[in-house]
Amino acid sequence: MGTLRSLFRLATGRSRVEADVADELELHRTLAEEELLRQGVAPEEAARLAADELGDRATLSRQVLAIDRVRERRMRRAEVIGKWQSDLRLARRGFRRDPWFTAAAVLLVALGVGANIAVFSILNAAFVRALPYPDADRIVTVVETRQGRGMSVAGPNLRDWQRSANDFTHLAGYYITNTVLTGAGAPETIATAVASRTFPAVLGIDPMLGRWFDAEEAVAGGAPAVVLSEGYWRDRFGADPDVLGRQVRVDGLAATVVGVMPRRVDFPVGAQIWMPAERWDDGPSRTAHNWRVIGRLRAGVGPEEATRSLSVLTRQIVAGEGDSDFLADGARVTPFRQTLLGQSPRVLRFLQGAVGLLLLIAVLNLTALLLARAAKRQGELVMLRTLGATRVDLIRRFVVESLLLTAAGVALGVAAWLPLRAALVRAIDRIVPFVRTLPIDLPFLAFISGLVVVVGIVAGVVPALWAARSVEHGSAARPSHRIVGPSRVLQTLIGVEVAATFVLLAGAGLLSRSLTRMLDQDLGFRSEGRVVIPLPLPVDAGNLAGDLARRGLVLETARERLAAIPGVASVALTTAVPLQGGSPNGGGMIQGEPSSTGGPGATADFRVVSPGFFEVLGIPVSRGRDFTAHDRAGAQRVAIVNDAFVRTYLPGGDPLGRLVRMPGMDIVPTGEDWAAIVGVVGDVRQDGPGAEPAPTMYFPLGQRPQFRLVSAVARVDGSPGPVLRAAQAELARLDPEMPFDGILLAHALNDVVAVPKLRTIVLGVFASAALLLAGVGLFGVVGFIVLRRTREIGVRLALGAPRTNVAGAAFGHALRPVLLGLLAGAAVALGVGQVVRGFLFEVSPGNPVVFAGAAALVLTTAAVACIGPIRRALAVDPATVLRADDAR
Amino acid sequence: MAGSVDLLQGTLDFLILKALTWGPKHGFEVSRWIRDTTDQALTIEQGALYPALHRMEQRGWLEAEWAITEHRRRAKYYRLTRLGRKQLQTQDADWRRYVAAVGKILAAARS
Repeated sequence: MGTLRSLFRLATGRSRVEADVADELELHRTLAEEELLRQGVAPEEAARLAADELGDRATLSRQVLAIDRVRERRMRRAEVIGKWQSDLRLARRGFRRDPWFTAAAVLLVALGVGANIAVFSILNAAFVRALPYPDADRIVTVVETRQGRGMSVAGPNLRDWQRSANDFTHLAGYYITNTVLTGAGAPETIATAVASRTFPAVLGIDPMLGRWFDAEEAVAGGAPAVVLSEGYWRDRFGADPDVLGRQVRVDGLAATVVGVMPRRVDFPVGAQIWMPAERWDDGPSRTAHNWRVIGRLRAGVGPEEATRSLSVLTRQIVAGEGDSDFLADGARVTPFRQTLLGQSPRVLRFLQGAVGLLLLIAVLNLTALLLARAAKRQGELVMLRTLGATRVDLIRRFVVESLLLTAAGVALGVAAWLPLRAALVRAIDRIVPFVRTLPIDLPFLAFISGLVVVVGIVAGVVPALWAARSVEHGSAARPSHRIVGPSRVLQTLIGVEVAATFVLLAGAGLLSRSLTRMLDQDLGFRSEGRVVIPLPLPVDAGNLAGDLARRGLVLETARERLAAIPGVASVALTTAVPLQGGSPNGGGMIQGEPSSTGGPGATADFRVVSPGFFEVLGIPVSRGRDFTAHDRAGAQRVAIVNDAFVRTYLPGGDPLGRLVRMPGMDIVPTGEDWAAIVGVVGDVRQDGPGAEPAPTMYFPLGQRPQFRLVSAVARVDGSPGPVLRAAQAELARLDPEMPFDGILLAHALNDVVAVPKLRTIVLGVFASAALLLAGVGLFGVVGFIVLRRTREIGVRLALGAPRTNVAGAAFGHALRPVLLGLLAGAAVALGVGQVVRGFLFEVSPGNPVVFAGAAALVLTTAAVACIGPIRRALAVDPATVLRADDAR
Repeated sequence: MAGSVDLLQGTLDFLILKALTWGPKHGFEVSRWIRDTTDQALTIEQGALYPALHRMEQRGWLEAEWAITEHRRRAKYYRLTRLGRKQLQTQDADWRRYVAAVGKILAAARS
């Protein structure tokens, strides 16, 4: 704008100012010369003296021009500012006269932009804000690949990479697991990251206190050591600066605190302590994919280049390993931010789309409101034009009004967002867990200002242009008579608005329907009134076999004590609590089938349970029997399989009595003999709704003791609260070092469906807001359209048309753009449905019930919005309308 | 121009303001008014007048208008604004005090 104006001045202004200065100086010279001639000085001498009086003309005019230019710039600026100021004053006065319109418009903008502000703040934190690591763009995630599919990395491969990969300054392996930490207050289950010695070098962040692991600690069987996260150090150790050197026990292993990592590391997300990866020798297997790997690229090396070279290296190191479905044939290097974001980009894009639609609706609404207001003020505008206001003046007035309303709306939106920030971070914890704060930074402020300018100008410009044009058409002599109506523009606005609203409503409908489906789905077990109590026991690494026997005793004692608690109906033990993940699978064998003679394994989930497990969780035993106390060591080995196992591997025949085994699942090989199938149980959706039940083998805990985490599950009569409290007390008596993390199984279910639920709620809120906005907009705009037809309605009534016909015609006229909008919306929604298909559960993206419901909602809203204005128009006495028209 | 003195810094502004007290003048008229009124005792330095006029216009002490002279020439006429008149009052008072003080000093020196 400024450039344009200076160009303009270049073309016209400068020459005028220059000419003026030249004229002024020349006049002085002429007059001086004439004066000298009058005094009788010789003409040549007079000319010289006169020129001399002003000195060097060129310098002088440059000097004077410079002064004039400054003056002119100031004047122009003052003039422009003055115009805007007077427009602002007028706009404010207008708003005070029309408080309802103003409140509606501001609220509307606030609703529309509020959600956008919230979502942008999340996107900003997730995508835009720099990662808190130095040279973060050189940090990458590395996976092994087989035929392009990514896998975690096998220990020996990681070590070979660390030795030989040239494109990395450092590579580090890590994984995150739960451990029990004791020796610092009450025992506690904490998230523990096991990470390579190179880990801080990859991230480029050193401990804030103490040090990372040294060569004596980061080695197999080395001195046990832990590094605390800043958060854990503050919460658990009160930020004690003397924490270094303190002893804690991690899963029973005495370890020394050697350092504290600053909070900004926060990786792996949620890690509370770190332990050295090198302590655990995970053997020579190149198919045991245990490690996630991050690396720091050498400066100037890109991920693609590193992918190529690392793939070559990987093929070299696995050559001669034979072939296996689990052996890598390449590697892939991707930017670290993608790892941090995980699945969130999809969800965030979805949110972005939803709030974008909401913003569109808000803008359209504001446009429509301003347009209707402009039409009402047409007389005033014509008068202004007659009084000499230019087109630009009129347009500026509208844009100023629109900008002012938008600014107020955005301010209200930000004001509403501020106190909700903390809640917002908690709500998105599952989607983008590494986002801990929503900063008010430069990009955020830019976004906010951008919102004001874009919305304000977009919403203001259409009414402004329309008003300017209509003023040209409407002659000053006959103000407000037969002026081109804004109906066409308004109808388009309504159509687009209805379409956008329909898309949001349909989307919300699809998601809520799929959520209902999800919640209604039979999971194969009962969750209500069931509590889960993990029983983490430390491992005595020095005496595995002895420890295994001890564990069996401790667990059985725990089970008995829990069973004795009043209110507990039954208790069982299991390695595989539904909805808690972590159910390992492996290649099973069935005697008499190819899987027992070197053929492909009967891949099945491996679960170990105590007698009564199926009864506790309400899993039906369809054939045979449950495990009993007699299924103990020394007795006939037994197993139970689920329906999916029978369907998949033993269709047709009688599974009972068949012999199965699941090798390779135990650290101490105790139970790998053939076991007879004694029962068949119902399928369980172990990972919650939407997860297909996998073929599963159950083994009795009495015959197959486990180092895996065993949990007690209990069926409770009545309130579970007192039971959990009693259980905590009982277990503390049994083992004061065992942390208590008892929960309700129903809560775990809630957690599993939390993300789809959140999605549904968010979109539901947006859709409701959209409907509200559309309702407000339709009310204003349809009312306005009907109002403009009042005269026509009056005439038709006066000519004797039946009221119902007239009302019907008016309805039809008002609803036509709504119907067109619905059609467009349905088409768009079908397209969008394909995009959100991944979020849908047993609902097709074009679900007719959802579409019909959404359409009905929009139509009803529109119809209700029409009723008032149409009734008012019908109630007007036709004679009055006609007379009023004549009087004009 | 024998016997004329150079103008002190800031004096020119005062003289211009004073010159315009009797109504609008263009630049040449201002310069001649100053010369004639002081019996040619004060003259304006080469090229100082017009920058001063334009600067005072920029400060808002003067406003200018193009008009036709009695000899049918296009000229830029300067006129005092309210701000200019106020400025003149202030400077007038200052100058009177200054002249009185200098007069006393001169009188003291003679006796």
